Amino acid sequence: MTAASVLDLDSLAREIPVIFPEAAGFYKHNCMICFDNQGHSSGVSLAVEREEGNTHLPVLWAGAVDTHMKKAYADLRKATEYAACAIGLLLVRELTGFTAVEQAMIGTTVDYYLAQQVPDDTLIFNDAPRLETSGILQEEGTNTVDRRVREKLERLKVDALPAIIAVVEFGCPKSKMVHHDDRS
Amino acid sequence: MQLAQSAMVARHDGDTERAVELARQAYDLERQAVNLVPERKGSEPTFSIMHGSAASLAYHSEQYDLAQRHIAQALSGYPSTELRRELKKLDRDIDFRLSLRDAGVVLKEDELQLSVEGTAVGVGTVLYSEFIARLENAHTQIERTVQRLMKKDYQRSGRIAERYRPFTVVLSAPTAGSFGVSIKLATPEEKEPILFPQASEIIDEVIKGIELVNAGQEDALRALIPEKGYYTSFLSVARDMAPDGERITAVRFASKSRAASLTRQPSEIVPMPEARPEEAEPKREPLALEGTLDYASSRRGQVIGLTTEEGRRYTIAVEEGMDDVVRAHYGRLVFVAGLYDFEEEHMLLEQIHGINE
Repeated sequence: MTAASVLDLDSLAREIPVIFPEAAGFYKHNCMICFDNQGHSSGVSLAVEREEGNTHLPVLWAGAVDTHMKKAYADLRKATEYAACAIGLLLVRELTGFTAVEQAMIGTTVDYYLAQQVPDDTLIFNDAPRLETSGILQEEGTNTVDRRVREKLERLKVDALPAIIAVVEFGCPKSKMVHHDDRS
Repeated sequence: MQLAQSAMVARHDGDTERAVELARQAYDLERQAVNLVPERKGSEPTFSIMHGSAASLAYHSEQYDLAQRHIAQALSGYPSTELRRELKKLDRDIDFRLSLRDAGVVLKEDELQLSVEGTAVGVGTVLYSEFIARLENAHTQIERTVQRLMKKDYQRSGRIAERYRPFTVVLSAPTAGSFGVSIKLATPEEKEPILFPQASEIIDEVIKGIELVNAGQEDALRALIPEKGYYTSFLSVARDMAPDGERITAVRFASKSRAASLTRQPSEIVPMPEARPEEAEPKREPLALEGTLDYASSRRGQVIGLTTEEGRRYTIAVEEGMDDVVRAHYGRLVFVAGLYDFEEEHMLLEQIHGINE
């Protein structure tokens, strides 16, 4: 973690090896839509809860949400999931020694795998934790960050493979990060 | 990696042709990478993840046979439980898509294919009562999904305002060889096309809900549909259309981009209980009855009557969201289950399904 950490949406393509420019723009727009929908603008503070200690990080981006963008990303449920993925990728890079270096298409989604550095052999997913993200536009009733984290841990407990879980909420912006690793 | 991400973006933009082509190019590269990984236990989880990824890319590029080969390879290794579950789901989707393709069915973005399997299904024929009830239920789920996505509060009764009915449902002729119909969400010429929700998004939402119901993920369904009335409606209608395990063994849904099967039986589909303060809990006991639904009233909340074969009459309170499924059974012989409230002298309805007369 650097002295003055920020989550810069414009750095997705520059600083995360697995994200390419076209996808970086897509992820950035999904984030902007979610923050804008909840009345936030660039510079909004994201509260991050994690085992190593809680922190607040400003989320920055260039540009503004316009009508055209709102139409293109009108499905807020999908936008929330993609936005949570982008924020998760940035949080991992800022707060852990990992960054996303590989991806795998599983079903209809893209899974990202993390490493300390870019692996150079063919067994690229061995020992690489997977990034598990989930998004909530606005907490309501039982639809909470804590509950989502519990559900993810419950689902992952049958697997010994390591994972970093990041659940992001955009209403009162906050995120919870948890490491899962049951390898003996 | 770049091609796969571009395919994801193209799919979001609705450019299906480009998405398929990009997925095809990504698959070709992924296949070359997969071939470099030796098939031995030390290669896990890389081996199964890469074959799983290749299977997904082949699926998205509509190369279903290749996709199934990679799924078989991944499953022959040591995939994680999570990956195994995903791969089996993908395999079932592909089986269904292949059956559609063999029957010559090509779905468009605004079409939902509904089909049933079981002893009640012959070659291009089906028992009328088994199919029509499920078709009506699918129609209800589509209409409620449109209203929910358009941010309308759940409406229990009365005519739904015209602006919340932007689509007309059109059925195509059943396909010979299996029993299925295509339900098309068309915008009538006299109506202004709406930007959101698009027909494909409504269909996608219905299929995703069915996937969650069939996986027993009522919690995840609640997250997908946070509004209580719509959640209860979706779950109760899904339970009403679920297969009985004999006459109907599966109810299948497919769109151009995803597919789901409902194979759980009604008794296995249980709503997520709501937390209630214990001290406020009145005296209630479980009760199950069979009888005919014989009156309904929207006064005093929603109340229906049921008369058993012995002539005994019960009053049943219907919670918000169960209205649709109750309406579908009015005047018919049904099984109902719920909690009998001794103070109010009525049953709080939890389950209802038709009995074949």
